[in-house]
Amino acid sequence: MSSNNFSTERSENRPNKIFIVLFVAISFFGFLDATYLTVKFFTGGPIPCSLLDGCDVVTKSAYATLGGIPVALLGALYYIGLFLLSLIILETKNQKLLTFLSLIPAIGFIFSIRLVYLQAFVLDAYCLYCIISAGISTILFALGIILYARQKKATLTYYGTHIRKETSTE
Amino acid sequence: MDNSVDEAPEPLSRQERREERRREKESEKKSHATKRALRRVFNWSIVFALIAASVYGMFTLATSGGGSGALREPITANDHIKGKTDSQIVLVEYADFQCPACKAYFGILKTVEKEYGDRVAFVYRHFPLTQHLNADTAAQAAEAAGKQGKFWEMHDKLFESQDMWASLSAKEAENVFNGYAAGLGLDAVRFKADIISDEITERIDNDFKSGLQSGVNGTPTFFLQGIKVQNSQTYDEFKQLLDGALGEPSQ
Repeated sequence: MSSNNFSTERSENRPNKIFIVLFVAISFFGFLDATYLTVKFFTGGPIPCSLLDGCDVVTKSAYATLGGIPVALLGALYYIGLFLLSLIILETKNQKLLTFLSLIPAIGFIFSIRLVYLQAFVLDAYCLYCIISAGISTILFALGIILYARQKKATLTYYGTHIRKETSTE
Repeated sequence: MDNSVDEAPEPLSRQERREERRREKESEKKSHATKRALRRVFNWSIVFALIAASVYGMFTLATSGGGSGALREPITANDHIKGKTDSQIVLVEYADFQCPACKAYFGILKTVEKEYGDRVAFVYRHFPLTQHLNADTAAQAAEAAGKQGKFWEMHDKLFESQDMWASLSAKEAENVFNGYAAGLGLDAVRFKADIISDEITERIDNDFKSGLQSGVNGTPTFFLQGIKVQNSQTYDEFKQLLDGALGEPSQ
C-alpha cells in the first residue's frame, strides 16, 4: 500500500487500535459463549440457567435452527470470523478490511434483535447464554459504528489535507 | 607498471564496495522480512492454539455437568418402579424416549431383566432433552398410559417404535401415540385428556429438575444404588457393573 496513505492516517490509526483490540477480545467472548451453546446443542445436555428460567424452552424451540443449522453454530462461526478478521486488521492495517469489519456487526445486531424478540414475545422464555450473545453483538455493533465513523473522519481529513495542499500550491 | 597495477583495482573496489553495501542492505532486508514472517507464523499459531484450547475448554465445560454424582431425589412410591424396591439392586434411569442411546439401552435392560429377574428393580424418570422435539409428548403419553396402569407397556412400545415417530411433527406423533394407547386397550377419551393434563407435565418437569439436581447431563444416566455410573458400551460391561454391585464375581 502507499506509504502516503499511511503517514496521513497514522495519527488516526493509533486510537483505532484500541477499538480493534476491544473487537478482538469481545468477539472472542462471543465465540466462547456460542461454542458452549453449540456443544450443548449437539451433545444434548441440559443448559443450566442460574438467573433466567427457560433456557431449554429456547434452545429446544423451532427457532433454534435456521435451515437445519443450529443458530448457536452460526453464532460461533460469526464470532470466530470477526475475531480472525480483527486480528488480520491489527496486523495488516488494511483500511478496506477495517470498513468491512465495522459494517458486519450490523448483521449480527439485527439477527440478535430477532432472537431476543422471539424469546420475549413468541417463546416467553429467556436463555441466559443467548442473552449474553445478544449483548455481545450489541457491543460489537457499537464498536463497529465507532470504527466506521472514525474511519470516515480520517479519510475526510486525508482528502481535506490533500485538497488544501493542492490549493496552496496553486 | 607498478602504479597501473596498484591503480587498476581502485575503481573496481569502489564499485565492489557499493555492490557489497547493496547486497548487505538486501540481505538485511531479507533477514528482517524472514524474521517478521516467522513472528507472524508464531503469532498466528498462538491464535489457533488459543482457539483450539477454548473449543476444548467449552466442550469439557458443557459436557461435565454439576452435581456430585449421587441421586438426590429418593425413590418414592410415586416413581415408576418395575420390580421390588427392596431388591438387591435398584437401578434408576433418567431417559428420553426419543434418544437413540436410550433405545439401545432399552435392549440392554431387557436382557438384564431376563437374566437377573427379581434381584434388580428399575426406576424410570423422565429427562426429555431439548433437541428431541417429540420427547415431551412421548413422556406425556407414557404418563397418560401410567394413569391407566400401563406405564411400562407404553414405555416399551415407545422405545421399540422410536424410529417410526421420532421424525414426525408434534401432531402426527400425538396421533401415533393415540394409536399405541388404543393398541394397549386404554380408554381413548381418558388418555387424550390425561396426555395434556397439567399434572402430567408437572410430573415430567419435576423428574427433569430432580435429574438436574443429581447432575444428570445427558441421557441415559443411570444411578446404581443411588450413585451415578459411567455409561457402559455393551451388555457385558453393564453386567460387570451389576455383578460388582451384587458382590458377585462376574463370569
